[in-house]
Amino acid sequence: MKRTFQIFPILLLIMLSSVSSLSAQAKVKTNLDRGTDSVGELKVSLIFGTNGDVDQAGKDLKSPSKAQLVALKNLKTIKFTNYRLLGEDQQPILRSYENWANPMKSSKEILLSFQPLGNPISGHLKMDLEFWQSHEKIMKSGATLKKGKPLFIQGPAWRGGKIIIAVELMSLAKE
Amino acid sequence: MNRPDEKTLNRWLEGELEGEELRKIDAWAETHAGDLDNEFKCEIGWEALNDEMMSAIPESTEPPYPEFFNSKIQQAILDEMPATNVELPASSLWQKLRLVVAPAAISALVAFYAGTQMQNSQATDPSEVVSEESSVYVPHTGIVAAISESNEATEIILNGLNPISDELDIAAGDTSPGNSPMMATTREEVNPYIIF
Repeated sequence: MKRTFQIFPILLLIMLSSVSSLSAQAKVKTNLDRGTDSVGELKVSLIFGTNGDVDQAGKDLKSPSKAQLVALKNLKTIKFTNYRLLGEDQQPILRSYENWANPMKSSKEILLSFQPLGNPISGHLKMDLEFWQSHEKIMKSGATLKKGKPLFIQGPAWRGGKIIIAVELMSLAKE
Repeated sequence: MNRPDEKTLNRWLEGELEGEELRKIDAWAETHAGDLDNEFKCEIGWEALNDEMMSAIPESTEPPYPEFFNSKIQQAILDEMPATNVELPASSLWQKLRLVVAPAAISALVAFYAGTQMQNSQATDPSEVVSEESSVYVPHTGIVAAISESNEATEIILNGLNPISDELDIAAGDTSPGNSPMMATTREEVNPYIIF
């Protein structure tokens, strides 16, 4: 009886160490790389803005969404009378990897790379945004995005108008 | 010989005299024994009393465990003395270290508490640490970026960019010649399980 009581703590220790070891192994297997977790979704739209003939961009192009048009009309410095949507791309925001948005699926003339600079805080996400034109990095921005507050970048001139990149935070993972 | 002075007589009594001086005093003492008896009667009486008392006191005996006995007595004396006068025995290593360890432990606790408070404040009031201002870096010379912030949107105007050639039908999928900078880091291409 006395011997049983002496062995009991040793057995308990062995059990505890086994459980913690198994738990650690399971953690390693399930969380191999948390950097690939999505912390939200980002939509990048390429818009052609002009005060002239909007068909210069292409005859079959659609108009931006109503929400985008309202946002474009309310801008203070970027002001055009006509807009056309050249393309859009919605991508998950990987926690610690560089992400790419390619709004015009077939053309890689205008690209945007983005990477979170930290965890989302109170609906805000600080991001490293890079604007690429003709395979060259043109601009690097440390922008703080939040849902409902898009970022517009007025880019290069083209066919009598300007290329506008609209960056919108569509969703954000729970903090 | 005249009567020696008191000092000489005392020296004679103590046995400190020698030679001629001792001989003279001895000779004088033999002829004046009566005077000496009267003069030193009292002292002789004291000596007898002293001898009597000493004989009455029993001889001292060593306690069975003298060191233990002495240490107990010393401890009892120290306990009776006021705290300020007590001389502490040599402190151990831990007693010396605790003077250093105790403040360090308190400092660590305070720092830990402050750290948790700072973390909590970030969690409870993130608006204080989230800056909505955007910053822009343009590596190419000749290109200027202007930022405009409002509650509804952020605008960045890039001036000085090379225009895209009108000949390039980007809407149809045209791209300038060159290698795409896109890296293989899209979600579909990153599969950590593929190596197992």
